Amino acid sequence: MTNRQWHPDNIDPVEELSYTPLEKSYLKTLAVITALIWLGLMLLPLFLLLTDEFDGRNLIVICAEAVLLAAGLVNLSILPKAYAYKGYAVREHDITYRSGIVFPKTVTIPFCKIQQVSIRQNPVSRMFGLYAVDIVNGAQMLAETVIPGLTREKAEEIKSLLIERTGNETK
Amino acid sequence: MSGSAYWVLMAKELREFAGPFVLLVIVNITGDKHTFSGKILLASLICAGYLVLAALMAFIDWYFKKYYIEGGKLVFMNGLLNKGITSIPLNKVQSMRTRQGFIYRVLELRGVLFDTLASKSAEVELILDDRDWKALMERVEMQEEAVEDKDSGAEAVTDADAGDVQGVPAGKAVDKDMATEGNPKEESAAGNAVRMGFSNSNLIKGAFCQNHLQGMAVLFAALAAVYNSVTTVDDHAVDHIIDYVDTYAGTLSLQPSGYVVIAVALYFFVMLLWIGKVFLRYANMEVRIARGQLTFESGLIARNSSRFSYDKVCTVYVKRNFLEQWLHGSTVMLRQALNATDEKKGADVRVYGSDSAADFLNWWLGSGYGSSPEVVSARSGYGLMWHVMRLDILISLAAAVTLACFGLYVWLAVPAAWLLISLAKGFMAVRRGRITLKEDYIEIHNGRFADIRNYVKYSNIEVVRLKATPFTPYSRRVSLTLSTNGTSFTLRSLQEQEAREIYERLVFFCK
Repeated sequence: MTNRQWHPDNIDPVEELSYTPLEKSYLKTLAVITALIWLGLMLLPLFLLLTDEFDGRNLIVICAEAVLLAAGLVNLSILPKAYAYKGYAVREHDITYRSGIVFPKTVTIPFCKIQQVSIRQNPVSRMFGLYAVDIVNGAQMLAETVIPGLTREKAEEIKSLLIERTGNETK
Repeated sequence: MSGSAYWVLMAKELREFAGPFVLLVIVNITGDKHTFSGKILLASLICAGYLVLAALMAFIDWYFKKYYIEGGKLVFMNGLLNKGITSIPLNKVQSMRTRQGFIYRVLELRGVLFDTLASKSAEVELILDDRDWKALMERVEMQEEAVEDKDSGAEAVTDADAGDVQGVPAGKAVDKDMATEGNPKEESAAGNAVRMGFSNSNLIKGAFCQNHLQGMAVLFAALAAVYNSVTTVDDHAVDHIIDYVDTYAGTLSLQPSGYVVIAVALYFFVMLLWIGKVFLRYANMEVRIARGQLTFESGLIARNSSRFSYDKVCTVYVKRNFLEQWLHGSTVMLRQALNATDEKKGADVRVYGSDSAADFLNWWLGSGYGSSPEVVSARSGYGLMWHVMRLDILISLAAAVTLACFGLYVWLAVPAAWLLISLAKGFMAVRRGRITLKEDYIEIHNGRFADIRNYVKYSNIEVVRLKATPFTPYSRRVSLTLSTNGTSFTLRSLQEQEAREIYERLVFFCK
């Protein structure tokens, strides 16, 4: 049996950590991705125009487009707040990432549980020279945590740190 | 592999080519192209080709399939043109399973399968006779002893705990009468090994106590198979049946009591199907515990076994619904990492009916697990009730609106009753929802009508997540998710402060 002592005073609680913000250009990346998604959705009602004409077809298309445009604009307007909340923090034995605006989430992964760390880019983040660090653990759920919006140097730094700490921690 | 293994491989090849063979026979013998004797000749030729092909493929499989153990690794070779060599370090084997289907038992063979955590690796099956099986087990046990000796310093504490667990039942062998009262029959074998036998009457009792809707799933699966075969015979067969029922509907109509009788008969039929399914899979169940290894074997016709180390278990699940509580039974499940189990057949170790939870928990958590002091706990609030009921509310509303639209006001009682049941379900979920951090393990209570307790070790926690909702600023309630490599649990509507404390402790102690 184990009987390790719990010292709450010696621990920096997750809620009181100072989170490192993501790169400012990540906000632009988010804006481009969001705009592309909503533009894609706005294309869908246009397919109605290819069908046989029926009463109110044009009105339905216009209404659908207006609703989607409004939703897209609302989404774009809350992006700065969502961006400001996103961040990561490293403690002695774990890494924490927080995100979400409607449902704020905080995920903590102990270094000893990390199985794999990788760096990746998608076409939009490549446009802004940004990278994401992909942290994989052995969990059934939440097996992958992605920290996006990092410069190459920062991403490499986090990757090296995680690999080093993972090696040092005894499982 | 022994010569008898060839016949098992032959049976497998015959089964593999059976579909194309039947199709080929049907295509060739239907139609007017050939005379009757020509059709017989053609069918015989196809049969001969089928047998030769299966025999040849089985021979290649048997001749080129080799295995040996070298340097703590199981090396497995197979294939003629597409030759493959698989090497599995024995200390990476998550669990070792055996299967003994009908043909295996006739030929006194067993198929041995090795599960590792590599999710994409192909399943490796060795077909061994008793002599080879014993030789393999000896090598595996030797390897385990070598690893234990190597790690003896580091694992001194764990070994002491495991020794206690094995020692208690070995010293206090339970007599046979206990087995009939809901407890498993325990016997001390050679050394400190413990053997637990579970009576079949307990198994039937346990199967009877399960959620009876599971039986409905079995019935629907059977009906789907019947429907499928009927439609395969003739596309118009279903139309004929519907027309027949339509024509004779007047004479077939029953009194209300008749419908009740049919419903009761259907219920008993479903129960019979469900109990039969469980009985076939789990009859004559036997559990052996030796040196931290648990071997589970069951099955009436096809015997299946699973052998794994106690540190490969990620959660012990104990369920007691009101029937099980009344009959002094429980359902115990030992859950391993998902990608390490035989997902096709659901090889999680399940013990129905017997009140054996304490035995497994003693083995897994240590004999003093019951006295482990409570550190902190948190209960779910009424937010969980909304979560449980949300779908039922939507369904009931939709049904009520539809019924009202058609003027069927009397039938509104059905969605109302459904909503009441859902309310009871939500209330019970809130009553049961709780997480308790003990000094040595975590106990998670969930379930609705049934009392479900999940036991998790701190070291099994892989990741922890805290999630707020738009109502959190007012209710001060959050959700806590903890995930192991085989299970995950989300505890909703916990008090924020308690949840944050538990979150910190879980992250701290899981190292």
